[in-house]
Amino acid sequence: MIRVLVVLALVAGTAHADVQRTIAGSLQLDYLAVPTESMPRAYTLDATTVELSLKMSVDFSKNASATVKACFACHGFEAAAAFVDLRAADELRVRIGRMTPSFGSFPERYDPANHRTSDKPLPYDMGRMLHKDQWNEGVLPAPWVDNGVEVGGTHFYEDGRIDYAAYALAGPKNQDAQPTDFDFVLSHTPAAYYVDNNSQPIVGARFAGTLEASDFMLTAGGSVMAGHYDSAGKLLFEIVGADVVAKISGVYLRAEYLIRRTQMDLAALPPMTTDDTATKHGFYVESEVPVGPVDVIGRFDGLRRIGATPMDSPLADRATVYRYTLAGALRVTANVRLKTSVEYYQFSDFADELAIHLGVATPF
Amino acid sequence: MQALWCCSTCGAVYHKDFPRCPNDGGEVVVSETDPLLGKTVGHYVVDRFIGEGGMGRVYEAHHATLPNKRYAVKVLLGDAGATPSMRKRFAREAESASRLVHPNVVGVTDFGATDGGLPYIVMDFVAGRSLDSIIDEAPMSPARVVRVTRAVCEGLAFAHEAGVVHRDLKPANIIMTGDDVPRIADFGLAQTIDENDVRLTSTGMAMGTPAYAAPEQMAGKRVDHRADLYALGMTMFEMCAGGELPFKGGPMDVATAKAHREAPPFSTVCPGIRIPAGLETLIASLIKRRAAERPTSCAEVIAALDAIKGELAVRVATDATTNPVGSDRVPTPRSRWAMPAVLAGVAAAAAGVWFALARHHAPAKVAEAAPAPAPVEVAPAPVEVAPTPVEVAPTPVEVAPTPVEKQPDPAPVEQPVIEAPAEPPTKVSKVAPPPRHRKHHVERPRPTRVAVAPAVAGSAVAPPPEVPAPPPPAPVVLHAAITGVDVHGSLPAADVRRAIDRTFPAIEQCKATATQAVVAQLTIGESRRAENVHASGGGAASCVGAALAAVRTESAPDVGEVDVTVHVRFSDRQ
Repeated sequence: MIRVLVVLALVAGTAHADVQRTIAGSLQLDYLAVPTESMPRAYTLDATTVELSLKMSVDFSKNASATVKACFACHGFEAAAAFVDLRAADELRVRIGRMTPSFGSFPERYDPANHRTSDKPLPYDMGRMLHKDQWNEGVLPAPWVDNGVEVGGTHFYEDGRIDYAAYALAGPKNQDAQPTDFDFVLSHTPAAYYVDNNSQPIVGARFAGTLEASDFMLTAGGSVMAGHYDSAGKLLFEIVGADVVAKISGVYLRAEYLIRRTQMDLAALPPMTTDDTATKHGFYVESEVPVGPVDVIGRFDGLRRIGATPMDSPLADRATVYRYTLAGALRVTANVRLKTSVEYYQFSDFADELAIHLGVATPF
Repeated sequence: MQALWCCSTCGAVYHKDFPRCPNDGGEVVVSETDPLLGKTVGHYVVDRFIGEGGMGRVYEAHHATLPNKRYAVKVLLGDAGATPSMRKRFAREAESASRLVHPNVVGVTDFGATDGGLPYIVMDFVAGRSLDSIIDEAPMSPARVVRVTRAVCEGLAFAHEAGVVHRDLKPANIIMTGDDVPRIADFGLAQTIDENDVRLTSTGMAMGTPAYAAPEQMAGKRVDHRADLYALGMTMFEMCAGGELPFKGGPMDVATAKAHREAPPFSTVCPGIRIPAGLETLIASLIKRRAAERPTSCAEVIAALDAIKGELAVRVATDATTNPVGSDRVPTPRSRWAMPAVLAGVAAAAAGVWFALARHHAPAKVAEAAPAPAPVEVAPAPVEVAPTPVEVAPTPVEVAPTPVEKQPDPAPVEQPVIEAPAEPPTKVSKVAPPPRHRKHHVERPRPTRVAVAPAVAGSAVAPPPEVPAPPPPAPVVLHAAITGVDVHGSLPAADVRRAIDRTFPAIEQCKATATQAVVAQLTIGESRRAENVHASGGGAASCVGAALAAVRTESAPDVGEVDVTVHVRFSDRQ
């Protein structure tokens, strides 16, 4: 591995190209109203929230660059990216540092400037869904930012491309004495940025193929991630995902399905529980249709959790939530979008809810 | 007639803005007569101007000592002769075409240079019409399509066996003689298969004509005989469809569509025209996007055509007693369901009524049963076509501003024809300068020139002006270079530069006629592909834009979209 890195560094160092810096950022202000609840704060982060990001990339050469991205959101400031990108060829790229690893399709557009609704699909939800604490958010909240190394590449061919990546990361965390799931708050706590809580890296990979034509594009991919998440390094998790994105004459059709199997500490589960695993399924299907200056989005997404629940969980052993979303994003200027959406939640363990988003987002 | 810009020393005709002739330093002046008319070029006396192509002007000429022997003489334009590569290409055209002696190929009989140094080639004079002018009249009957295609295919097969690929086959390059025999002309882009001199293909002049060029050819890749088969398939498509082609839009649209998708079936493009299934299948196989999926040789195509011909013969025999029009008529949907009634013995009167109805509902352009009328050789000039005036069709991608599925008809009827063949050059001090007629050429004011009778290369060459000419400027060889890539957005600039670099081979293929800077803008979003591509700045802009439309980045921008500006310069410096 070290030899590969040395070779890559030499290649990058000898390449000659103009050094150029690129800077980009985004801002979103969103207001969430839950007309069916008198005190939504107990179930979600309602009212106004602001998310912003600022990213800068610097080319050291044609084959080497560094990227730093800072985000501010519900959990304060966070380093969303801080990595060096070395590339020997299209087919061989190495990213070292803090990054969003290649998993699924949505994480590529998780930034508020890049998706047309104010919130994210439920499998990737990070705190905007109703009853977020009871569900412990989605399957793999986006952006999933972690420290490590990713080796990947792209092979272009006449009608499309193949993208692939494999990585080793510190992994999700839980420092509880009797863990039953990821602790997403801890995973985003600055104090834990630089450490692996169990000295065991997790591994993952993604493989995707894309067919391209002049007015058509179809991408299908598969992703996996596995490792230990608890401090003792004994509880396993595995995530498998499949995604399809099609673009047909400007209309996007997207679908993803994720399954996370998580091993729990039996001591935290009700007595007589023998199965220490829970599976969390997440999916979404959506269409994005441009109608003049408005992007109209229709989405159906949901989560299903199967498995024993901790004794203090309000969820049943088989719990579901389905959500129906109709949204519109009006392009006011080239870079400013007004977003609005209406979401109808169907919970198996709670009353159905209605949520309304109104916000503005802008990349710059 | 239209006045010409001519070199006062060698008589070379110019269209571009050359203050002096790059070949000999002579001043370029305005003349209202073609300096070659009536002159002797080698063994040939130039009688009249016929037409003009991208590289040269074509004249009808007769042999100096055998007056009844007529030829078409193509003389290189001064613009084209300004670069060694163009001269080399012209010589290549002559050399490759001279190896082809076949009834379906316009033969090259001689090659040389005028006393002024202008290269010329001498070809058989073919009286007839270009196939594209016939196609424009109406859809051709399947039988005629098969017959004509088979003959073209025999000519192509001969060329391929000789190691020559045409690379710019199209209806405008097929001359139909009075006997309805096609002859392939203009091996101007011809490439010897074992060609090792890549310089000839790196100047951007080997892209063919967008509507007919194979996808691999438009992408700047190395082509073989299957590129000709692709062009043949497109030609067959157009013959059957009466001028329709499967890909529509501007050159950039066509280039992109060809690169990314298969051509739609004939029955989809022309639902009102029925052709035999075998013929449609053959056309579809010839215009397959991947060369490997096309027929492997002309022989294979000829075999398929013979099979279709056999089917048609059977059909003609069946129809002979009931259908007075015969097999040369384009079948329509109506004829298809009316046929059983005919076969069942419906009365001749009913068949007549059906025929009348069919004529009424058939497409507006239905092929005539007889072959195209053969022009009489003594007919006025517009009727007679020399092999090469077809080159007037705009040069590929970069300069063709009109939809490529319908190239401007270069038929000689629109060409200026000089009526008096032996008229000597005259002084033209008050003649309005002719337009520099390249469509994207920007005029610049030129000072009034001193009237100087242009000299002519040949037996009647005028003496050079007494003022010593300055040394000729160095020949111009234009090279494309990416001089800047500005990236605004969330992708590292290096990622974008790599993506741009991957398209450079296609940019290199763009032809620039003069030093120019092209600025192209595009955006990259979730699709990781170039979108909203706009290019401006010169004749090569659309070609550069088409090349950049293929930009693909490895990653998608994660914050908004990425705006990219690409600066491409065409100059004589590497």
